[in-house]
Amino acid sequence: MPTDQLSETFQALADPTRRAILARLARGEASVSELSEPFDMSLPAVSKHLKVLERAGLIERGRQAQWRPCRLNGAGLKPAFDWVEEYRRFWEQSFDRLEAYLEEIQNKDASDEQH
Amino acid sequence: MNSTSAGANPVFKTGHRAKAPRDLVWRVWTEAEHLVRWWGATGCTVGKCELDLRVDGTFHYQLMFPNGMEVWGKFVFREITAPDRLVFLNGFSNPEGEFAASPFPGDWPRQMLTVVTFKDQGGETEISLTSEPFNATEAQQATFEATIPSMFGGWAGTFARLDDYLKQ
Repeated sequence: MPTDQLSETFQALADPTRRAILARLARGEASVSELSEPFDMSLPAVSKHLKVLERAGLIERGRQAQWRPCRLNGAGLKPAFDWVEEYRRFWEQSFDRLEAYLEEIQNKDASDEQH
Repeated sequence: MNSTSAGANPVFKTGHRAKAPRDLVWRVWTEAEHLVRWWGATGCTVGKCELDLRVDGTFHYQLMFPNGMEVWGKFVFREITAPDRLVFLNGFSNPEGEFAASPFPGDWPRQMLTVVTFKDQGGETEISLTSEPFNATEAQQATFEATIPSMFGGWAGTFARLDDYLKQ
């Protein structure tokens, strides 16, 4: 069992149905029955996935009695996004440094040729 | 939970158009004296490093961050096709050169399989890079896939702005 929030997030994301639910919610809030439509699944089965997502902090559910709309919780996704962004940033910064270095050595080559 | 992804492997993509001819770009990527001058995030310097450019050879390096943090990493080369294609496993390592867990917070795949291609564009070079988790646990792989920003469309911009965490 997950022991921390991040592991719980990863575990929640490990299921394709739950990822599809998140992708749907990225377009706007939805009820349980709306969420169950694209999947060949009973409402209780969908509710089970929603509970996992809710516990992982990836979605929030309205408290109004009958219709409890689900919505994506961006803050809950942040830790998972963080490291992909970190990885991207690392490469982008390396590319920036690469460009600066290429410019430096090409200028040096050009001035060497002039002398 | 056997199927973490339907079909294609999850892939991270980035790229850069370098204003230099391809042969030079290739050398700068594959010769230690050049690599140490640019490899790493802004403000980093490469401390110790060893480069053994052959299939199964490694690039093992020590990166010093401006805040004093010291991080080790390595590549293991899987394919070297000069001057257009470089394939390697990359990840964090320990000073002894074994792949190791990330020193940063969060759950990272220990090894990424990275493919870099270099295309000649009339005196400039188009560099394309893809990475995917290699031998990652299911949860790590799923996280990698799920966090590719395009999956969440409009949310990508929101998350792209979350760039202050490294400054903690």
